[in-house]
Amino acid sequence: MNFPLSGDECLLVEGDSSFILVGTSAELFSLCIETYDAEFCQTVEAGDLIVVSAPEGGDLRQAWMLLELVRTYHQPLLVLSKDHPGAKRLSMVVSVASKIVLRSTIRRGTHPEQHLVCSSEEMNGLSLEKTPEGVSFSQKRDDLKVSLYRPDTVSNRE
Amino acid sequence: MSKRYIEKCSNRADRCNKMCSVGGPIDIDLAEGIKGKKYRCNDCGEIFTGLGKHPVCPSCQSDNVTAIV
Repeated sequence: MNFPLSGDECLLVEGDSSFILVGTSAELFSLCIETYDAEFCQTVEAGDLIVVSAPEGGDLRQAWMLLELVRTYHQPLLVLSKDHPGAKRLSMVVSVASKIVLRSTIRRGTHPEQHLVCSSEEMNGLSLEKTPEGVSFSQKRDDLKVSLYRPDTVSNRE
Repeated sequence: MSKRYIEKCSNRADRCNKMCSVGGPIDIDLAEGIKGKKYRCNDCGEIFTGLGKHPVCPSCQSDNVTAIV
């Protein structure tokens, strides 16, 4: 399943109790990933995916802001150590890569690997890959609702 | 405690069992880990650990970089 994305458009994928917001990078930049003792600088190319996952749902504006912090402002990503108590405070997480798999079996905010992002069980296993036009899904999922999302509509949606 | 509060907590606990872990015992270990390579920027002198095939300097965004040992 292919979904074209242009400019600052986003793709909203909704389940019963969770959602992901998918955007693409407009430019080449270096994204820093900060762990407790190291820094890795990942090259993000134009068209790479920026995926914000909200495993418990929440406000779409929060997801969009998080996406824009990375896409527009190149905000570094902070990775918590494995047993960090702050993991339970994270209602949304973000990953940036050309291909991203959603996993419900990882601990939130503690994996620096950008090809994975934690999700709810209903989205577990969904794989997203960048295409020249936008994004493609590995499988057709009738249980998930997919819609195009523009920033100027954010304030009208919950 | 009100019945409504107990139901709310119960629903939340149910949802927590169906989402990525926030500190519980469920987790997978990623065998490959994350490995980078050291680079020096030829434009600004920044030294950094880069990931990917096309390293870009995090300070000046230049791709004029050299791998260092």
